[in-house]
Amino acid sequence: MNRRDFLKYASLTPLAGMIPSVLASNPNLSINSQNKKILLLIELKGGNDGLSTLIPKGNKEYEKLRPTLAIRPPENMHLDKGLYLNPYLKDIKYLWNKGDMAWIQGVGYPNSDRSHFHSIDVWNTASTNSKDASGWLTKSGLPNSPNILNGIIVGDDRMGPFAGKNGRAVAMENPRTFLRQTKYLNRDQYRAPNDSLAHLLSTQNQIISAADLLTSRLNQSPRRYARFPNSAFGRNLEQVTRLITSGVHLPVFKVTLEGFDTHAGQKDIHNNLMHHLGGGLAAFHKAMAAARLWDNVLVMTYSEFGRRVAENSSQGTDHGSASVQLVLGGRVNKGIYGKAPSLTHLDDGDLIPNIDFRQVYATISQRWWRRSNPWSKRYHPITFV
Amino acid sequence: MYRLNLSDARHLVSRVALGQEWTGTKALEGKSRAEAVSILLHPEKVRTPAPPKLTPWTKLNRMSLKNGNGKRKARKQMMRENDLLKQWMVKNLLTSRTPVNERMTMFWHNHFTSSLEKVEYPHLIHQQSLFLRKNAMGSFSHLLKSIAKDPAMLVYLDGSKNVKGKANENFARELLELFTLGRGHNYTEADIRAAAIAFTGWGVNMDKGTFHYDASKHDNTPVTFLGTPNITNGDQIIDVLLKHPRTAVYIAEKVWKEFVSDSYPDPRVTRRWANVFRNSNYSIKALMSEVLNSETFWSKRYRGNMIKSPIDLVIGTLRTLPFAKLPSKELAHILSLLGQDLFDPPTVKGWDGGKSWIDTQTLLVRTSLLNKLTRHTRAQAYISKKLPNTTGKEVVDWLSPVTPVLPLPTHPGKLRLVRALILDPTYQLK
Repeated sequence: MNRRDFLKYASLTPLAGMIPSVLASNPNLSINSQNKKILLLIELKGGNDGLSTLIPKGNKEYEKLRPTLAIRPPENMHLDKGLYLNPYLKDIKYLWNKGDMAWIQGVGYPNSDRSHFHSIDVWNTASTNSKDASGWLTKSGLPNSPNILNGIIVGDDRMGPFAGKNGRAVAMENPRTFLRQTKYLNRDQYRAPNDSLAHLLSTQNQIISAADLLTSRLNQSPRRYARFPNSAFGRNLEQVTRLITSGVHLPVFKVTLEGFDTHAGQKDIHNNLMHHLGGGLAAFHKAMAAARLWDNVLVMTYSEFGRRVAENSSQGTDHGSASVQLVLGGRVNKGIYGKAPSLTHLDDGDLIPNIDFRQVYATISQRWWRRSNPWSKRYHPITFV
Repeated sequence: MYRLNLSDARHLVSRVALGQEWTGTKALEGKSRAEAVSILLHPEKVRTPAPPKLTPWTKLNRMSLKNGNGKRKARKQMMRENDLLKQWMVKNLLTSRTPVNERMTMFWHNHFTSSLEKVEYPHLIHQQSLFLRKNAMGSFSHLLKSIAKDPAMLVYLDGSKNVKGKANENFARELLELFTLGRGHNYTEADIRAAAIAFTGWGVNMDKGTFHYDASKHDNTPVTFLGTPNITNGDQIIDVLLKHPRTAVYIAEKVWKEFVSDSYPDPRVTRRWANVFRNSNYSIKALMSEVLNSETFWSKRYRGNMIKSPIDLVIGTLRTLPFAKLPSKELAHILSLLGQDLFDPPTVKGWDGGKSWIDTQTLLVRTSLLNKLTRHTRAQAYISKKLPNTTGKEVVDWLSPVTPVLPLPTHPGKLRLVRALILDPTYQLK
């Protein structure tokens, strides 16, 4: 995609002459260097059990505390340091062999909140301060021009990490519903008499640009590179993949995989989720590789919290603290980052995190997007990318 | 003397009431500013709305004390009743004959926030809301002193956990940061700790759901707060805060943000308002009268420059125009989709308001809703008949805060004009 093509939607200046002066101050902010760096966020909703994802096979405490839930993956799932991939993630094991996979273990934040609602707020805002409601991506050094669309969220109609008036993203349950909703939106440009209406106009234009992208690019229906799992997650990921392979290189895309709140009968539910995750990501890799974009994307999973170390009496696990994050991409530095959290020294039954999730955000800002690290005072990047 | 035209009347009403009902707005036309403001600030008697049908407190309490299962059942019951409470509030907002008082109630709810999400007991939030409604135009010092003893607040900011030897600073911190002085204004962490100690022992009697002072949990150690020594209780802390000149300025700044503009307040103006506020012994009516009579409030610069809140947009439109009323349950849901979930503010700071009401998500919901309300239906003839019998120009002055930015219909028809004005982006402003 050339620069002009990119600006056509990214700078949202369909009728340049009619853009109000408040918006016109810097409409063509150069983000060329950046538009090739795509972050794909995958929210594992409900609280993903890290110990069933990256598995300390054979660990005595693990076996003791998880009498029915301990997983014993085959040897070919071994990654490093006695840690194994969940066998249902076997579809992406080759990415480890290839050197394109990293894990961050023991990641969380101090005094972890056990409420889904509060803890995802903490992850979304990168702040444990309950007065802060703006998303971490609005602070991460993404382009801050009102004329730019920074991201598309598919599978969740909340703005999450993009929350706040500088979010510059659209969120949708799925593209079809979104397009139906946008039918009513005013499409005419106008001269805004004040900054409130200018903000509204720029928001309107963000929506229109996303709607136009979805209509034009998704309908072009590029070659199917790979088969995605037949689930909402698989379909949403496929939509995002098609947007990217058709040249829509926004800085961030986000999809959600739901169902991780495994209080009862965890094993089958979780394995199935891992199967969908692995299958989806393998298809995503194949599509990116075929489009020669694998080096331009960084995939990162996250979840509001991990789960209690000891299983409960319903063969499930309750809300916990630290968990693991998976990172994939052509420029990823293979490895398992962070010290394994102790299974004996626990905080009220929960893992004590060794890595703060804001270090991961800092890494994305500084080492992926090459922007300054807004959390630099306390959180330093890690070298996974 | 300057007399209000229809557009001036709309400006005043749309900022301090809920929507702009035709008769009420039209009645202010030709009045002086002072007369119009006085009419709005001295409404007929404020009625206490009939309570929502909540399970009696004692029954719920007995249920939750019984065992773990009872506790879960009681919580579920309360969660269902939280929705009833939201619907109750929607109904008040829609039907109240004292909309200025309702708006001020919401203003204080957004100042002294509490949320159902944290408090859990709908009774306590209902009680708090009634208290705020009753005092919305009264004395700020009374509001402040009483809110410190309000059961919902004591749960919301953990005051009920603040006991001797185990001080919980949550309430003390927000009292300074959010209720009186504002962040970064002349207080230290030591002041917060001192205040927390003074408030120890203030809690809730859970059997009755009322304020309860437990002397055995009160730390009587004298503390120094903001330079005042020998303080031994929470009332004294509040007295010090009410004497502090910053408190009135902080409230004046919030009033600016709510009623004048999203922009940074002009300090000369807010200082003047603050002086009036303090000199009137914190009379909210005196403050509002000063604000609404000020040149600043009427300045062309600030006309139509604020984004309508979800309540302005949804409730205001339904109070203003004769569209079919949606059920309260649906309205409460729409308000939450628009970012103003009643009794559940997003943070302890309340709703940020202003431009943050509009993001890609809420803008879509706003436009879908207005389209739904104004689309052609069989009731059209009825709605048309209910519209005021007046000229097109007056309809524009009545509904549009600034000149519409999209072309108006060229075909005649009042309903067509109303629809165009409502779907014009400027309708999102007030």
